[in-house]
Amino acid sequence: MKKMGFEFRRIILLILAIMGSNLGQFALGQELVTDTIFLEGISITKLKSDHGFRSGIKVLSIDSATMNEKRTLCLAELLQENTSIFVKTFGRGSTATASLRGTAASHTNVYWNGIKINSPMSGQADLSLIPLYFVDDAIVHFGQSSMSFGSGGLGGSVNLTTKPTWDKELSANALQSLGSYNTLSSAVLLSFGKIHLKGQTRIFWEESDNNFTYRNIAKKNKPFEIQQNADYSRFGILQEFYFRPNYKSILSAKVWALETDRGIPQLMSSYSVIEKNRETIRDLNTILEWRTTSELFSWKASTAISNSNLDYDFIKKSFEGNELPVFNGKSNSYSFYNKGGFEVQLNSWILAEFIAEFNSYWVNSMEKVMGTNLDAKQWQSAIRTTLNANPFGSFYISLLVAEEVYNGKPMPVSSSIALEYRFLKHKNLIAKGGASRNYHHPSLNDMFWQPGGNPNLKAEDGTSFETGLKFDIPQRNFKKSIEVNIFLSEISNWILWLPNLKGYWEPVNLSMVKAKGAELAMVINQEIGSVKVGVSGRYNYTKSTIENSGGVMRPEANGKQLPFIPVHSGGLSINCSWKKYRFTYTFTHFSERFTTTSNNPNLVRRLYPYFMNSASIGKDFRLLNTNIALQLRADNLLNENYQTIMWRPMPGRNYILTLKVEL
Amino acid sequence: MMANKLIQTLIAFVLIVLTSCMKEDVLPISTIDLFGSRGVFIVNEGNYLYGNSSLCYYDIDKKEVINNVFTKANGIPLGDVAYSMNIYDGKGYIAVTNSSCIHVVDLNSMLMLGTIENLPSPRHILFLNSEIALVSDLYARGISIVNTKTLEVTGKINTGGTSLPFYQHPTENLIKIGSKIYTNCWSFDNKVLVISAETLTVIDSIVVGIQPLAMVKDKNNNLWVINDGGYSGNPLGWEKPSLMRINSSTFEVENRMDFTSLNDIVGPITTNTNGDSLYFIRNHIYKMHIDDNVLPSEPFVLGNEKNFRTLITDPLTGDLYIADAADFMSEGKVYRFSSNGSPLDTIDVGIIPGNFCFN
Repeated sequence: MKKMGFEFRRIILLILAIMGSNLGQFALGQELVTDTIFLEGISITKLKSDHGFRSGIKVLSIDSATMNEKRTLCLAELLQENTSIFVKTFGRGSTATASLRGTAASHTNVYWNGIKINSPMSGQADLSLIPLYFVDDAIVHFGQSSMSFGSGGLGGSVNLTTKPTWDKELSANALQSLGSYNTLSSAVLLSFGKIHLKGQTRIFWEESDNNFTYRNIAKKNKPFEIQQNADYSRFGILQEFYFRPNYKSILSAKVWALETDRGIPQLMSSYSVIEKNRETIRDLNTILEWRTTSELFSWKASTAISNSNLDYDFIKKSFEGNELPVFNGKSNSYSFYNKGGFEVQLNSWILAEFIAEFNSYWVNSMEKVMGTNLDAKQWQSAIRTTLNANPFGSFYISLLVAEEVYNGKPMPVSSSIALEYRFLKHKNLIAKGGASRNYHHPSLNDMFWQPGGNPNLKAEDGTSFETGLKFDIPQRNFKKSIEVNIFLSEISNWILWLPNLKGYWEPVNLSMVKAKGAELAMVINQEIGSVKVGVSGRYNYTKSTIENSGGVMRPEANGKQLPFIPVHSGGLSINCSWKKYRFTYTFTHFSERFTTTSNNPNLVRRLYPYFMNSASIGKDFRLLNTNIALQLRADNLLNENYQTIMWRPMPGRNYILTLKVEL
Repeated sequence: MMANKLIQTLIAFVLIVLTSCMKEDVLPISTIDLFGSRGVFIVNEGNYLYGNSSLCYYDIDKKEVINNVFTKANGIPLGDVAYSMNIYDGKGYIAVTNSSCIHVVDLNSMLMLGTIENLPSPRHILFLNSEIALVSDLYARGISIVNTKTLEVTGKINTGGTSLPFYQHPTENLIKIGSKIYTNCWSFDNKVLVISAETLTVIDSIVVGIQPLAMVKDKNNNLWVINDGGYSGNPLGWEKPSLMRINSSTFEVENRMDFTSLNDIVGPITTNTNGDSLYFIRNHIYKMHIDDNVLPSEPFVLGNEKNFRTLITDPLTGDLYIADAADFMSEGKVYRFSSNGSPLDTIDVGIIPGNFCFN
């Protein structure tokens, strides 16, 4: 009986821990295993026997110190500097997408508080549009780890969450940044409320002329030019309310409204007079969520509405200065998400989770100059169940089965299995392995875009295997962690947009793309006297090749690296703190990227290796009973002249000074 | 001990990092000498917004190709979507649509002599005399008049209609017959415009099929227009691709031949050296006499799953050059055939070979 009571407490604490970590963190990986979990202001001691094992093999959490240090950046910059994920960016403030494990941008699912914020039109998420002011935790789930949240993340997922701070009844933070190229950013973060009701408001505004000088190597005599039409402005507000009638339940409502207006600069090789090429994007995400726990199980339900509105205007100018409209497009997409689920401890060693979803999407797009339009709808339902078990000793197993239905048409069943074995009790030598079958349904653009959309496209079918070792050495004043993983994915029916003889692009299914690679990560934390040093290094080897194009490409393309996927990527981050001073240094590297399926090394068809250095220095102090932090950050330390996409210039060394006041 | 190791490792790493800076590739320059050779330039469009256009030169007698002649000679990229090349008075004029310019080069050394700027989206060039040239344009709603001496835009022939969404009259090929200039309006259009070469104004328009892709004149000075027919969902419509003959005296469509399927993919058209036969792309390459009233049923050259993009005949030998865009994301090929259809050579070229120009 006593044992039964112990088990109940264990179950409840486990469930609380999972629920408290919010939906976006539902699949806790070994990265997050700690002895203590902070649940919204309540500290719950986690039992040593609670291993937190889920279906994930590799999960990377970006720590809160890093998030705070980079609060003025966007998600694209955060991921580029702190993970080995390849972020394809069209320039400072411009579109940026992420590629995980050699897959496409549409294979990276991005979740914000549990709702998928990838565009239902393109299937991709523009990471430059996600401000870190609106994010408290960022966790990357590689490969099959993402399946806990939904199908389609063949590369993985990026899970972003916000969380309330219950420990203060009233708090306010204000940030003001001033940077190169007339970059200004202001933000206010307010938190108010008592033990049962909490409100949080975050407002930010940012603008930049982004008119940096660069050497234009695409023109004769390599003149220095000023980047034109790259300015941007953003305004956003995030309002959160949390109602906690008791410690078992919580109701939350969150509204995210964001408007981005930005110019789209010309290529370096353009000789056009200044033309108008701008887009305005308005995003509105709302989510209402209820979570509760009982003696035997916990359950949750959420509903969310997401709207994205894009105005794109491209006007050329004649030599006399008259406007020549080229493209004037407006698109509106709505997503309606409904999700419910519960988790239950079936017996002393099996934890079961069941989730059901019903989502619907509607998009409308119109182009005025030519009069083309797109009107498409889609509904999707899904059920997902997971069993997490610890059948004996140090052996753990997780099984996941999911089924999705699109517009009444069932997809094949997705599934995954993950295994873990801990060899050494105290030093935490952990071996992991898993296999999965995951499907990615074509996006609405893939199927219905005019011209080119193909409603007969097949869903992408990914089979992957991965295994890894992790070794933790926790000692006093010294902590070291080394992790190595290898993976292999075979993706059939890979969707690729190719130009055709009619003059437009259309999506096709490639028979087989194979992505394989290895990932090495190392973290060292050391205290040397009063100096704390944290070093994290990472290296990825990714070979992502077309094995069989199914006749849409030449045989010569077989075995070649996919365009824009680097074979080698890696980086190093160093954080030091001494008394009230902080210093960070970040180094990021990508090897060359080809832009053709032939992997032609010709200099106008490949991007040279990327080496980037950034650093920041900051100091915390108190003034008039107020906490103040001052930080100076420098990007492109070596003042490199470079491009990350062909013929799109990037800025030289640039600075941003941030003042943070905490009331 | 551990601390020292850590510090040493960090210092070593930082030193390595600081010495590994990016080498922004400044494109190397090499001497190009085409003097005395007879050849054909192949204009490779490259991918839209990739800036990977290129220009190849194929020496007809030596059967040798030099890729990227423009970049090699000048150390800069050709630009984004190079579309056509024309020659006048020993100079090459390369229209680069999405770079809004025409690069002017010396035909022997390929060195840049200048750039005509501020052309919205240039497509083809027609030289009227030693000073005046016309430049067709995808978005200008007009044809630009340029001074080839000063390399400046001096005027415009308005073609664009006033009503949107259609009839902006984006102009493509420019063909001069007598005192008239003809241009086909391809993108979301169905017109061939007639322009007076004397007044440089549009004097008439001829309704053709949906999206007249290309146009050529035969030995009788009649125009042959091939229409791609649009596509499913095209706001202007979708019809079977067609081939039609326009009488350049009466401006009337005398003969219209529809292809058999809505899904037929057609490409540009050219004539043989005598101007009495046509070659055109319809998945494969077909040849027909200008007096034929039905479309040929048997291909002249089989496509064999190649993506034939354009074609041209050698004005001296009658050899046929056919460009294959491959998968559009890698280097294409050009196939050279004799006038009787015998294969002569295969040439590796750049991405999306789209036009030819004999020197």
